Amino acid sequence: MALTTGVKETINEMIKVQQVLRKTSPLHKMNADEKRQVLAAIDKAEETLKKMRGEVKGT
Amino acid sequence: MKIPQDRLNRYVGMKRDFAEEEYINLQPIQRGGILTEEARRAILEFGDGYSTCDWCPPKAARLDMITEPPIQSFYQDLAEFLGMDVARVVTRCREAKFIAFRMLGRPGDYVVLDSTAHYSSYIAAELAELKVKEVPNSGPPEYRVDLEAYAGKIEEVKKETGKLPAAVLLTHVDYLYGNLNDAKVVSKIAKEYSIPYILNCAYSAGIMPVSGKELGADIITSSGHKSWAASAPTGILAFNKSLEEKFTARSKIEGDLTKRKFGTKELAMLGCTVMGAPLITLMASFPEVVKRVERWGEEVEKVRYLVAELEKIEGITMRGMKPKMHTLTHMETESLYKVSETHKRKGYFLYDELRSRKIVGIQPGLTKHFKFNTYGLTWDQIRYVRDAFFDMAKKYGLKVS
Repeated sequence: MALTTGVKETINEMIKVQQVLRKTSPLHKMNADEKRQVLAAIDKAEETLKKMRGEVKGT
Repeated sequence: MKIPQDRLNRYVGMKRDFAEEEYINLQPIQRGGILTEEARRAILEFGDGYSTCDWCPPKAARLDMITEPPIQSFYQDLAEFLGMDVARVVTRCREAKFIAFRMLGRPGDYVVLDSTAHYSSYIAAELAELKVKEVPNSGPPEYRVDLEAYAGKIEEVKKETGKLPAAVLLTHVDYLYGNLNDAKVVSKIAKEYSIPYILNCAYSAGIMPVSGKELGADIITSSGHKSWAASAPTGILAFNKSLEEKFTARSKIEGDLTKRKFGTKELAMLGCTVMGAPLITLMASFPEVVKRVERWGEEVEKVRYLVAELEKIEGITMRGMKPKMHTLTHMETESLYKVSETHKRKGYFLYDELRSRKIVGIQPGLTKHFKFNTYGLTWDQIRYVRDAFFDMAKKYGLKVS
């Protein structure tokens, strides 16, 4: 079931974002690599959330 | 008893004032305990109570026998990483010291320790019913422990009691000034007298390279939440083979009525020790900890840079041994104290000024002197802290050379 794994996956992606925020606090001036990491994590989380939404609606 | 809902609401949605992702936290005891990404993920998996104990082997029901998650191999890897033979994770560094004192001494025995030791070293000795003999330090400005004086103190104990101390303890890096002591000097003395040597690595192991074998320690104690990127409470007790029998002796007690026995349990550990979130974060951060100690040189470089920059502000000087060998730092700040005397917020002005610049961790109310720790900060963050102090100095008319 995508829902159970999806929840953890999404939180883990958000932890990745938070790790970058911790490293760049308080100004959060990110370099190219940090920006790429953050965007990749948001994209992945978004994709997982979409699947989760689909699964709930389909049930 | 029922607790009214409005009181229970205090425990709902608790939030920390100083989230690491919003502030630079210079708190001297917190820098080495900031969780790694892997540790934060592991909490999601193993945060529930006894979740690490799903696969506790029924015939050898003991924490260090669990192989899934790999607690058993972690204990072995932990010992090897510290250059010791055996390791146990205990609740805190102070428990590790207490266990060592309790197993090595008898009531009334002495332990010889440095005069910059943490209060918990004294209390651990007290609970183990031991007495302490302190090794002096040089006082201001360096507070250098006279390591050679351990021999004289051992002799003092021998003269006073007719026997040797139960143990000697050296604080590898002290909590007040961040002075790094040469552990080998005390090791040599302890060996000459054949006294077990405890090296308290609460502020060193986990952030900088530490090898018990190289430093000549019989016992290493450390703190997971202080220096190993783990949640509290986690302590480490590592020891050499020669002490294994004593430290891991099994329980012998028997119920007089039921005849129950607990022969698999290690007495000094009171059976199983730390499980759940604290243990799992310690384990999950371990691969990063193994790597990060190799970057210690750069950490020292960063703190030396910041200290040199802050000392450009009039009336600010570092306390402790120079050059700095550790990221925990004690600054004497007479000029900031003078500012506080006429400031409407008095001693709290410094805290306010830093907090307004998103820097926390300096104890509120202090201006004459304060401690900070730069461990793990990036170069950008180090420069940000410097700029904040320079900005503040300018605001209050302090010269910056």
